[in-house]
Amino acid sequence: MVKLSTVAVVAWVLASAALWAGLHWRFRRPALHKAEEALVCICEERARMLQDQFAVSVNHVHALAILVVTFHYDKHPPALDQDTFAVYVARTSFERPLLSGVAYAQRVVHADRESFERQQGWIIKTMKHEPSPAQDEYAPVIYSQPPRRPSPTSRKRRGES
Amino acid sequence: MDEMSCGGGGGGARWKRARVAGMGEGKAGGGGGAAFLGLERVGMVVRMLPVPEKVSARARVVRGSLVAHFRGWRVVRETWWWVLLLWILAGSLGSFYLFLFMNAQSLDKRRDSLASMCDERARMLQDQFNVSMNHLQALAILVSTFHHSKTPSAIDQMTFARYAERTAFERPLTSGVAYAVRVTHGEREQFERQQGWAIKKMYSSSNKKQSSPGPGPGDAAVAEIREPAEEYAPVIFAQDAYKHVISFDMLSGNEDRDNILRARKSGKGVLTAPFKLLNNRLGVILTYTVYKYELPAYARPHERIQAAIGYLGGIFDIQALVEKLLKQLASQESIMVNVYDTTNESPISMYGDDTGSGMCHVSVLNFGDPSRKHEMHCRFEKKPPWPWLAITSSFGTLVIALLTGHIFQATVHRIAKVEDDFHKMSELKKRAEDADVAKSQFLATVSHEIRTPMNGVLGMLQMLMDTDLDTTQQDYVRTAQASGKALVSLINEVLDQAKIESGKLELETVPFDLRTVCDDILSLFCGKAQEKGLELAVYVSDQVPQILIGDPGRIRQIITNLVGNSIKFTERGHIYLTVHVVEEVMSCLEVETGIQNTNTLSGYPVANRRCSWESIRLFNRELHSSEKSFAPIASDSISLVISVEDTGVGIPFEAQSRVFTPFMQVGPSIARIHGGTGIGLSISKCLVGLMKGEIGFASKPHVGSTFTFTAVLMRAHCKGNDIKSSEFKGINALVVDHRPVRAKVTKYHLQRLGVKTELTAELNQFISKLNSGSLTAKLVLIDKETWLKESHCTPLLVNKLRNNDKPDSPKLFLLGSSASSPKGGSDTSREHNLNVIMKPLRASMLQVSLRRALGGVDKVHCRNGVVGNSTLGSLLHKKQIIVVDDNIVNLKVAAGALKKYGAEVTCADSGKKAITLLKPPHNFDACFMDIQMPEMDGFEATRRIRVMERDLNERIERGEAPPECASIQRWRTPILAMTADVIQATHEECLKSEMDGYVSKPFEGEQLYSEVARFFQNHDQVE
Repeated sequence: MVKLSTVAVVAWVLASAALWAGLHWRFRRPALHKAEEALVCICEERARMLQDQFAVSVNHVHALAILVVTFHYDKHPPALDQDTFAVYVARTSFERPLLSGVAYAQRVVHADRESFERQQGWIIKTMKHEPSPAQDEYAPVIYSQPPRRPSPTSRKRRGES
Repeated sequence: MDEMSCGGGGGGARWKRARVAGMGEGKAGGGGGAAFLGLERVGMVVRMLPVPEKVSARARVVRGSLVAHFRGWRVVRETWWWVLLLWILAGSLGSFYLFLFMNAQSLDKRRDSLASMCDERARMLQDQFNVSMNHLQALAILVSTFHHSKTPSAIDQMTFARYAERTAFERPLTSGVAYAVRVTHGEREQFERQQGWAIKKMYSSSNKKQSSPGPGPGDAAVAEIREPAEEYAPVIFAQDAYKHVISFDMLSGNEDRDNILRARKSGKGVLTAPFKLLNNRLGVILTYTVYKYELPAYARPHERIQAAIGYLGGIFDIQALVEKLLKQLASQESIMVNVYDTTNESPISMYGDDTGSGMCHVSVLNFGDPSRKHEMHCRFEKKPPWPWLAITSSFGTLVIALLTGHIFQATVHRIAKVEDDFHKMSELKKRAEDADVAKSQFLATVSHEIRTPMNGVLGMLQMLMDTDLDTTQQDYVRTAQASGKALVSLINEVLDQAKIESGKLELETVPFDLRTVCDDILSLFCGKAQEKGLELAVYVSDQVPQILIGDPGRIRQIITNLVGNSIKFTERGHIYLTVHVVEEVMSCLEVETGIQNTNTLSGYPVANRRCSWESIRLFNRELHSSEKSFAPIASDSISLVISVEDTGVGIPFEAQSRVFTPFMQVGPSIARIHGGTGIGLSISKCLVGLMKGEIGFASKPHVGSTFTFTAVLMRAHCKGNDIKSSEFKGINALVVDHRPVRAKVTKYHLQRLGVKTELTAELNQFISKLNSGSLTAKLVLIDKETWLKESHCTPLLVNKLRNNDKPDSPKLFLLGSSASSPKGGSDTSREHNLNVIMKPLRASMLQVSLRRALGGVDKVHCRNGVVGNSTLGSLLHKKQIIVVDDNIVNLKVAAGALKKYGAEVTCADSGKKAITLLKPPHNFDACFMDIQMPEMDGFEATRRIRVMERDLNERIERGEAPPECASIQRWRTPILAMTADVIQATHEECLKSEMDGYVSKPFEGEQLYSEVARFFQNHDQVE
């Protein structure tokens, strides 16, 4: 009699433990799967948002390029000069909070170098401020965004430009 | 014929009469013993009567307690249903509240989720919208930089249109942009001449619905010319898709006018109300102001109005914006989004047409224009799922509560059942206890009722044996008497067993003399011992105090049981009863080991006494340590070791473990031979336990058994009756016996009488002392066995004693027993006219024998060999004795016994009659008074008799005595109590009532003589 009741108790405890384990496993798999899906969705969402934000910035640069084409090359004489460019870029900087500086460099072939330099009034230089040696093509900067704060270097650079 | 028979077979005739007399004496002694046990139970019965009252009181207490407890539990049983109901109700409410709580939690979580998603979408919508506004503002700056700041202007319609088209990718949600310049009335003619077209009026005055720049107003051909006004805002630049709006005055439209005025005043972008676009989608017009120069942030409105030079406007597609946004968030849970313009009381739907019900969250939108309000309404597309967690949790709680209630109900039900069973069991227990008490009372009553007639039967049989009967009749009478005694013994034992089983056996605590108790036991068994030719002896150590405090009746019962068993199972040899003190026994254990087994009372080997003591040696050690720890208290307690040694058949080894089991017989053959109830040892074991002792035994088959038990008693601090009389003081005695153990026993009894005793083992030593004249003993006791062994010396000794007629010649006694040859004994006694003292030795009969020998020479001769009877007859001859008893049978028994000794007996059947008969003056010499009598017991009657005697004695002293009493100086009639109760308490009661002694019923010759002699001898001396 005592043994029978003991066996019954042990069997009940084992059955309850098995039921608990089964239920735990039954509910655990969907939960893990759902968590994985959520992680994937959140990651993709953030990637897309980052991509969109970057595309917006790229669009801003593209718009500036169109500005140069419209008012520099399509106009004769050109309606754009350094001062105008600087003023416009500065006034629209709110539109590009992630871009710290923009500049425009004109394509010059070697045959046109002398006429270009004569027209601009300055010599094409390297990035080390030395006269550029002869080469097939040149990309001298003719328009640039001024620094936000005045400084001696900026003043000197503007003078050189 | 008679003479011839006496002369021819004189020896045979004497032998036959002596044997018959001896057997009669034995029977009488046995009967007395049985009477002792039987009468003792009467006292037990009387004392036991109050016990039922105690049991009744205890039962009453238990019953009261049960009733109180049951009443308390009844209250619990009546209220537990309410408790269960409350519990179930509480459980249900608890689970319901749990469900509500968890459901509310899930709802809150769902609402929070909706709110967070809605807010997220609102924030993203705002950001996207602000980005588009920035683009429009940048375009305004472009116009300001290249149109108004340059002279000539760098922008014309074609340039503006081309640039707007090429940068349209940057503004996917803005479908069209246009620029209107500010013109005052004074500048109108010059402006119109320069532009080449006239400023036109928008179509708002005739049809409000056409106030927007739709296809209607766009038709320049049918438009009216703007009437003169203070200020104008004609469109000069426009995207190609909207070229038809060029030349229209924006100030001529109501909404456009409001927009322009608010824009130039605030300097910020402003929105119009939503309106339908060309593609049937809703949109708003966003307006920015272009100033002549850059104004600081803190510029005042009138300053801004003065600086205004133009207005840039763009059409903004809200639906596209919202759809783009929702596409980005498609991965999240789907919610339905509605966007409303809530600037006015009735909201204008800007996106979505959902009108469903359910949970809804509202997020406020901020598009940068403080004068307009927008909201986003969100709701879940799907219905909320079932709150399974809340459901399962609450259901589980409910199940647990119900299960707990079930457990509670089952527990209460079981408790109630157990309580009822307990109540029933209590009733049954009380009934069983009452039945047990009734059984005990019944046993006590029946035993008592049986004992009284049995005493009569035994007495009558004893009297019948004393009449002239033939051999057959004597055999029948003897058998009947033995059967009667066995029956009385059985009744006593059954009664004791019942008392032990019920736990109602109580020990008495009274002073008693253990030596007297042992002598009584010898008297009880001397008859049976003589029949079997056994040596029966008792020895009590000198270290045992004379007076002890305990229960003499129970000690007597235990020893009687052990000696009775020994006599039953012993056919030859001896039975030796010894009493020692525990310390004495322990110190002698080592010495005892060396003693040879053959050095015994009768010469037969016995079971080793040490083995019998070893079984309780542990107890002795414990007792010893106990005494050490409780030395101050335990100094009054004394432990005795009592042994009964026999040379019987012994106990088989396989039966030794069951010796103390009730109704256990060693074997059927022994039971058939000896009979017996078989519960004596069990009772003895229980009695020893009550006395804080232990009982054990050592036994060898065909050698013998030795039973030993211990008992704890108290020392008495008062002097008891000292039976040592001064008459034997200064007298020396010599004991001649070749067996040291037996000689020691004889010395023990002589020392009790105050006689100094010397021992010698050979008769020659006595003769040599006699010849040399160095013998100082006046008494010489020679064992008959030693006498017969050295029979060659006896004639010389007798001649020497006869020749010496000196006054100081010693008195010679033979210590005889039935173990000796009857023929030899008779010849010796007859031949030499020597005094013979029959064993077993007892102080009382030894005293009588010695006194008679020393008293006078003419009484030395004994007749028919029975010393006691002859002396008692001489004492009671022609004495007037009155016997008082309410029982007629007892009266006859007592009268018969006394008449047998020559007394003249008068009977009285009540105390009153006794008082009448004993009124002085009377002729009675003694009175035997029964104690238990109705109406007036023996004590009361005796007190009244003593009062009358005292009154008469006082009158005698005053000289007023009647003439009949002149010859007597003082009246004092000896009154002896006749009682079946021999306990010490009864004895003390007799003395207190001024009784002079007591005898037990039925009468025993020895005790009767010892009591009567004290009075009649003194009386004779006085006379």
